Amino acid sequence: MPASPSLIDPPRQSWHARICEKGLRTTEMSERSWWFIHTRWNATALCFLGALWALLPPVRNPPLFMVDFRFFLIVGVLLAASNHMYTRMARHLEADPHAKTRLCRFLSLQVLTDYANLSLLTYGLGGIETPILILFLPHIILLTLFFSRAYSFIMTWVGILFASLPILLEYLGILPVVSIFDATRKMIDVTSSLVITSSYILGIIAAFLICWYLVGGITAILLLRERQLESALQQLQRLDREKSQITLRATHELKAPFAAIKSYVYTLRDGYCGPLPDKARQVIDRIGERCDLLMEKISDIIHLSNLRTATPANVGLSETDLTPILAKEIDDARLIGKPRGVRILAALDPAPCTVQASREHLSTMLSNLLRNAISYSHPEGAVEVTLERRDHQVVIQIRDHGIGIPGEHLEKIFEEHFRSNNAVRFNPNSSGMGLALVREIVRLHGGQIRVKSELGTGSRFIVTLPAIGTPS
Amino acid sequence: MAKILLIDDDQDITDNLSMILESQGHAVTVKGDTDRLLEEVRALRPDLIILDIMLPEDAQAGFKAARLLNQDRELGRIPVLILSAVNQRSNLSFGFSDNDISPDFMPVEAFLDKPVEPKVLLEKIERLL
Repeated sequence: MPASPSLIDPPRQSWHARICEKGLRTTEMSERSWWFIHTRWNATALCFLGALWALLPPVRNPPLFMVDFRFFLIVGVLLAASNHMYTRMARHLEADPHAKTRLCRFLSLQVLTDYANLSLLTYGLGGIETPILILFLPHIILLTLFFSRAYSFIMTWVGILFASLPILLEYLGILPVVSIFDATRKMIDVTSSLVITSSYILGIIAAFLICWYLVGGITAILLLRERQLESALQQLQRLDREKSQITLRATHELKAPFAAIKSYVYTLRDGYCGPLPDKARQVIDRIGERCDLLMEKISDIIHLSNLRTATPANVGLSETDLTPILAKEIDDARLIGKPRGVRILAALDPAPCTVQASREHLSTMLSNLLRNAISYSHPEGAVEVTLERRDHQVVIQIRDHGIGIPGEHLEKIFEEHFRSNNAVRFNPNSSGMGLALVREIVRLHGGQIRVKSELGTGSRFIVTLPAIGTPS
Repeated sequence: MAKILLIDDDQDITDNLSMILESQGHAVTVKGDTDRLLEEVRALRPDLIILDIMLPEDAQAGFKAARLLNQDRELGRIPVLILSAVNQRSNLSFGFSDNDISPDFMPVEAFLDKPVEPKVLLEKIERLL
């Protein structure tokens, strides 16, 4: 019987794939592919400049350094040729940024050719006489940051080999000794002493391995933190989804009975169960009104609880022009104010007042402020609304000439359920949740809300939100 | 008059809506869940389906049922009206409205908030039939 597909062994991976690909931070490396190529173009330019400088007549006589321009030229040409090839390879890789094996080979090849070029340059610049060996260290740091511990360890040793090779080959007499100083001022003749050569190579080994060890240790800590954060984020997202589901269920469970009661009210009121006497009709209307108020309170409580745990990220803010939203809310508010003769006078800035916002939340905020202003205005009163762009802010002001707020209550009016005595007397049916909702919405949008009020004269609510774009 | 399939688990709502719809001469069949939905719709051949979103089997059973019906070449032609208490004002994170109607998300012809005024419901039904 053939084995089921799930029981078939996975294809054997090469040692390179097993060590190199394990732990490779593919996304980070893909994003930085071009960064390495650009850096190498800069290094190529520096090599050509070096060759030019070596060709120029010396400023001092005898010259301080004697560099053979051919080394710079050869390394420059090699860098340019290899980088041209890497540019083409990077374009291919862009089409499939998660091709792990190809990315691994691509990066390893880049590091190896860089090692070879640096080795050649080290030899040409007199081996231990120049600090050019330091340029191996950034490669080791980058390898340790993006590859697994084991692979970066192997590649660090390959780096040690390339860095030591010119010194070793000079000592063994395989390569002629190159010095940038003239014979009389030569610093160290590596061919003369085994102690100097070996201690120098041991120095390279120690420096490279210390670098690998330290960066590897820090990277391991950072990776652990990253994994912990990722896991915490996943848990938060799961909890957020669960919370939303519970809220949705609770909303439904709380609202469904009122929806049923209200449906019966409509059925009775509209005569689907036969004609009603006037008195019964009045009672039915009052049941309906109380039902509406209760439903509104439930909605506000749930909405406020959602807003308290909301963040700009999970609400989904987008660039929104405030002007049409406010204009629509003013139109709706005019209908609400009409029965009591309350007028709304609006002065909206013709320039776009764009903010990073949730359209629905802004509508709720503006609607609450406008309804509030109308509710606490005297009959035939006026509510003034202005919207203006001030530098980097959008400012909305809603002013009424109604009953006002006692000074000692000004700080409390944004608390849920708080209502001042004069407000309760003037408008007994309010839930006392509106301004708490407004404050949470303003907070969610990174804005501020202030209130200025005088008892018996009226109130002015000022909302400022951070604007997007430059003022026209 | 029309054959209307009413899918809602709240008996008060179904009794009430049946009373209103039958007073206009419509024939109403009530179903409390979305089990064997396609078979029953195929057998009944309603002219309109009124659907709740949250049903006992799933918090989004109404959406799933609407998508299932929409995928069926024959049954997809029957107009669907979603009638739900989970509306935009109740909870902004989970609010739905006419704006959410789309072939992928909410493939229905209309959306109404529950409770609905009989006049508004009847007008909408007249438009859909």
